[in-house]
Amino acid sequence: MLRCFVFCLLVMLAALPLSAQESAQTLTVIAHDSFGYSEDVMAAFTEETGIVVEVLHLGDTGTMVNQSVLSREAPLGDVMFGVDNTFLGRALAADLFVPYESPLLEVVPEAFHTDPEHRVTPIDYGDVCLNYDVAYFEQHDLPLPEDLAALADPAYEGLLVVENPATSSPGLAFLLATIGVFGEEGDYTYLDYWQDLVNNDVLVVDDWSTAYYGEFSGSGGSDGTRPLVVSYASSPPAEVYFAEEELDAAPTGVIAADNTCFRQIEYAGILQGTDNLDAAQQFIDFLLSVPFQEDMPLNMFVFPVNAEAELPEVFLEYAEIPDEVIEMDVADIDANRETWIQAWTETVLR
Amino acid sequence: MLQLHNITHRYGSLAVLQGIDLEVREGEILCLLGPSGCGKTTLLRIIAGLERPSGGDVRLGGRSIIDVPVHRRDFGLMFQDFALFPHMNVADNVAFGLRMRQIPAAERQERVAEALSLVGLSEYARRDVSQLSGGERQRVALARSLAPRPRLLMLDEPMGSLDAALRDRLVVELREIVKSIGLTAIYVTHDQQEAYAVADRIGVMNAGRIEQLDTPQALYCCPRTVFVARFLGLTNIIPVDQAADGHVTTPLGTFALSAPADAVLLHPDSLSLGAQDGALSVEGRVIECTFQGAHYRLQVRHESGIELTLPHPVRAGFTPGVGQRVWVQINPDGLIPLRAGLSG
Amino acid sequence: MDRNGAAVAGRFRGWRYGLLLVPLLFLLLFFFYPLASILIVSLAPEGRLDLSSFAELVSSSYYLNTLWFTIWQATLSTLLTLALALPASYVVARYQFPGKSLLLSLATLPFVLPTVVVAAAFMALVGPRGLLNEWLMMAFDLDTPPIQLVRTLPLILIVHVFYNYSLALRMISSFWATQSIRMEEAARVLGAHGWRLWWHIRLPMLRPAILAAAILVFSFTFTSFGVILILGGLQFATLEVEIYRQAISLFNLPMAAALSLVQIGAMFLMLVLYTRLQRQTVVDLQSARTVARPPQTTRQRLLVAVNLIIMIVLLFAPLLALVARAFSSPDGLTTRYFELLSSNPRGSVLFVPPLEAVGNSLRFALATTVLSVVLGVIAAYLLSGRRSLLTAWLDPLFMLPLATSAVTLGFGYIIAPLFVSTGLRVSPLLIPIAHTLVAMPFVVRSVLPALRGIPRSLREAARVLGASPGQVWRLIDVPLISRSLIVGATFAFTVSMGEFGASLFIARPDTPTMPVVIFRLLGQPGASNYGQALAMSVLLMVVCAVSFIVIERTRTLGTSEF
Repeated sequence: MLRCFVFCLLVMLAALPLSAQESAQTLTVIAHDSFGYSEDVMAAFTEETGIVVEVLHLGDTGTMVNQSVLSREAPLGDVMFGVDNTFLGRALAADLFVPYESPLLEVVPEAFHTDPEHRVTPIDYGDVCLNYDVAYFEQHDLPLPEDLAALADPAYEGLLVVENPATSSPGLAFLLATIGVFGEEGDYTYLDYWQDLVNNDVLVVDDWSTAYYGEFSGSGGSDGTRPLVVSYASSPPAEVYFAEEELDAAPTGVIAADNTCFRQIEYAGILQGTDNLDAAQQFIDFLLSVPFQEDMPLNMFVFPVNAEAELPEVFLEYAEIPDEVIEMDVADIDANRETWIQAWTETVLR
Repeated sequence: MLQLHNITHRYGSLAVLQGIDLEVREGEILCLLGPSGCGKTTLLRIIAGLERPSGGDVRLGGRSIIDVPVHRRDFGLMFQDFALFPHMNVADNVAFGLRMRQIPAAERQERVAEALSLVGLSEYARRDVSQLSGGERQRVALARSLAPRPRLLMLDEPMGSLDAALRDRLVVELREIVKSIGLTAIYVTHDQQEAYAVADRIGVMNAGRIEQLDTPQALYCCPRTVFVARFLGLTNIIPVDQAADGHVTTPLGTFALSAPADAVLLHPDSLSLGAQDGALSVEGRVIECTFQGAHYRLQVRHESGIELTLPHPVRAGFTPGVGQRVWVQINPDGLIPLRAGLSG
Repeated sequence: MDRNGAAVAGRFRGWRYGLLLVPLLFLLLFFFYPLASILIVSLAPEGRLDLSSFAELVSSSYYLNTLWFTIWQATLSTLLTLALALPASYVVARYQFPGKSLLLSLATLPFVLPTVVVAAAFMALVGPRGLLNEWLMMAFDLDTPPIQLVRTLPLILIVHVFYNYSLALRMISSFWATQSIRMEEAARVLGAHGWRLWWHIRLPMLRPAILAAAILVFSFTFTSFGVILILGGLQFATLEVEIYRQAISLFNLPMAAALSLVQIGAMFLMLVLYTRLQRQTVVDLQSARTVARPPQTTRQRLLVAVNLIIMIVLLFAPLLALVARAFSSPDGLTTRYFELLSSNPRGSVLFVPPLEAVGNSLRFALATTVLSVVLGVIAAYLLSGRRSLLTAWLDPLFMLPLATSAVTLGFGYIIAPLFVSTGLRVSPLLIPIAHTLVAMPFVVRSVLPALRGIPRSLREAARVLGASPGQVWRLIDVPLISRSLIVGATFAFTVSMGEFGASLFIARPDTPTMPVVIFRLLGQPGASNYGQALAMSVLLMVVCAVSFIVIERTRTLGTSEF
């Protein structure tokens, strides 16, 4: 029996895929779990450069950044993909990256050039906006909220579901949006606003999936009852793209009014301590190149920063890019994140 | 055949066995008799190899087997709780030892059948052990120990969990079976009746020592220590106040004794009521008289407070009443010198 | 103590000494070492111990309340689970009915499902727009949904019971089947019946198994994360949730470390208490074991029926709701989601062919099962020796991984020097290893009572009859614990199949398992993503159900029926 176990064990272990042999041609990219791309695009890169890319998934963005900070002395990879502006401050403060100024930055609008030292390179962005259930608002003949303040209006009582900023990335983005709009000082601060939202029966859930599929009523798949949710500007195209049957119109819409959305920008950076600097730089260039930029939207439902990249049709038709988004200095975010989340938690959850 | 040389064993500071020397003869049934906690089961476990003694040697046919692991000793051991394997049927239980010895299937079956018929359970081969009664289980356990034809069979209180009526019958059966195949056996029990019935020789154990090793008859007639006499249920043990020149002085008087003694046993079989007859009679008052069928059991109190128990034949012609003064006569053969213990 | 000391020393003789060290070394290397690494970095970043976070912790009513709520809800969940599982165990141990073993296997299914999916199942069943509410509203012409369970403590408890019911049921009933029925018969003759029979006979008799199940359920609910967050809403927070918040979102490592230590400490205290409570059982393996028979009287049939109904309503209604959901679209029945699972029109790497996900899951789960069965059985063997100071302290240690937050341990793996230099921290091997840490306690807890229940004389009898120590193990111990071993192995397998939390905090190359695929699908908007996630959940259940049957078979293959 024991012998059989040991034998089975050896077979099992042998069957497990072992980590690929490190070679000069292999570049390790650490990324959050949603990092996706099309195989042929990556294959073309490997063919062109001879660089084999190995992706290491490190959980969500926060986990990835924290693990990288902890393992700074012995980094887990050569390049990090996916740190966003809500976590960038922490990564920069820990001095994780080697500066690199990609020649392709020329085609990236100035607004995305967050770090003047080019320790990180912007790759994509997505706007965290309110999504609404089109059918619900039509049926109830209810006007859409025009700004964030309107959400405290009794007309929208019990309609909104948001994510917890402590555990969810869009949740944090939405909190930052409210801070951007209402500020921390004055007669009516963001906390007063949140208090009003609580009085207006806002529902806070832990993560995006629960909010979107569990509570929001608009998605084709959901069982939820609330017609307003904090999600992305790219969600309606996804609804159409991933619909069961072909749709003529998106079942959900984006409220893209001025100062209601928070822009998340995702960056890539070359990690300190890499032995593959040259390959890493080539990879950053690849991330900014048109083939990859045009591949991103349908893989990760984000928008390309490369101005020359064309959006897929479903994005052109159903996505909205808000004119006026709320932006915030990454150093500010980093310095205050804890305080804000703590204060928010005190106000909303207790 | 099997020799134990100065076996000692201790659990931490507790000495369980203190220097046991013992020889088991070929073909005999040797009984280890003693109260619980006297170390008899430990001794059995040491012989079986289940425990390693703290000191001393176990020899089989002159060769030390102290380093031979349990499963290579080729002994049989029957446990008090029988330890039948609950996940096997009767035949599989009995066949277990044969399987371990890699005996071919055909011969195995034959020997299982043989062992089962020996204990009279031929019909039970396919039964589940949980369906058996206590007596049946005991016999399965015996068959299981016998089937591999061990060089030595050990039985640890094999009647312990059976009721008295069953016990009397099975003890006799057991002796017959063991004798019929000429096995050497060690039998552990705390019941002297069982020991008398089964044993060729009995070793009485007390506090980690063997106090006396003798045939059942010799043991009954002539216990050598106070403990042995008491344990065998013999009464009338009289303390000795003084001993000198072949005489001992007791509260009952002075008796002539050849051997040194710490106490004297007045063997109940050698006492009778009679007239005053010099030093070998004692006066007392009957304090109890119990009819026991074959005889009365008399309890007589001497003026020193010592009580004597003796049988009184029903056909003697008279029955002493309680309170009556009587003379108890002592047959000189019934004066047994006892030592307090072995240490002296 | 001296006696025990001698016995333990005896056990440790020779080669067994080395063998018994294996599970300890495993625990040391893959649990204590990484844990210590991260705690040291967190609490003594400059090489000087800074315990101010502890001071903050004990002076804050918030953290103390969190600790209190954590313990309280876990206790309540455990009691509730046991209250429901005990009568069911009785029915399972005593009565034979058609489809019993299949039903028992299927009852284990909830354990494998990711929380998000379970939440979806419950929403589909009792949510405001769920089946039950819709039906009731239609039947009684109501305007508002009559069942309002979402984000209430009762729902948290119901789901905890849903998850853990089968664990308690299987551990207790498998132990019960090895117990003698004589004791109970004797008690009946003496006039005990009804609650007296339960209180004086059955509960004491089943005590080791009840306690073992209780401590597992408690550990599981104590560190409950997803259930609380998703179904309870955010007014409920456990320590585990707070640790995640501190470690990931606030990156307050000292506080996360302090909370982790409090969590481990509280759990350790519980475990020590448990070890104290747990006494060696008196088993009478000789006499008639409890044998399952078909129910005879109307009362017995009623008893069986009531328990089966509870089981089916509690366990299978949500699962069936899930299955129904996976097969339905607005236009009626569909298998479209299942078809979609295997199509990847754009060649995205996020797409995983279902077979690959099933393969990965099965490989990890098999490796985990084998590892945790081997290590767990050795550990149980080590602990089954006579009670001593050593076993009293070792026993809780094997349980501790259950009480440790995955975030904390994940960080430990990333920075522990040995894991860095060997590259183990980025090896897929780490996944079955992490799963084994969680799965091993299930094996230990189910095997230990059975192993302790084997009378010493059985092994000795076998030895005297000529069996070597290996043969004793193979021919006596293994058959006698096989029932419990199967239960342990099943749960080890299930833990690995459904585990997502631990893998989340481990760096891993792309070896997506079924839960990972479910999460990926749920991470993107769109009806078909949601449908595919449910379809994959159904697939996960099917794969598990089939595996249970295979595991169940190995018992009859390897050993004689017991």
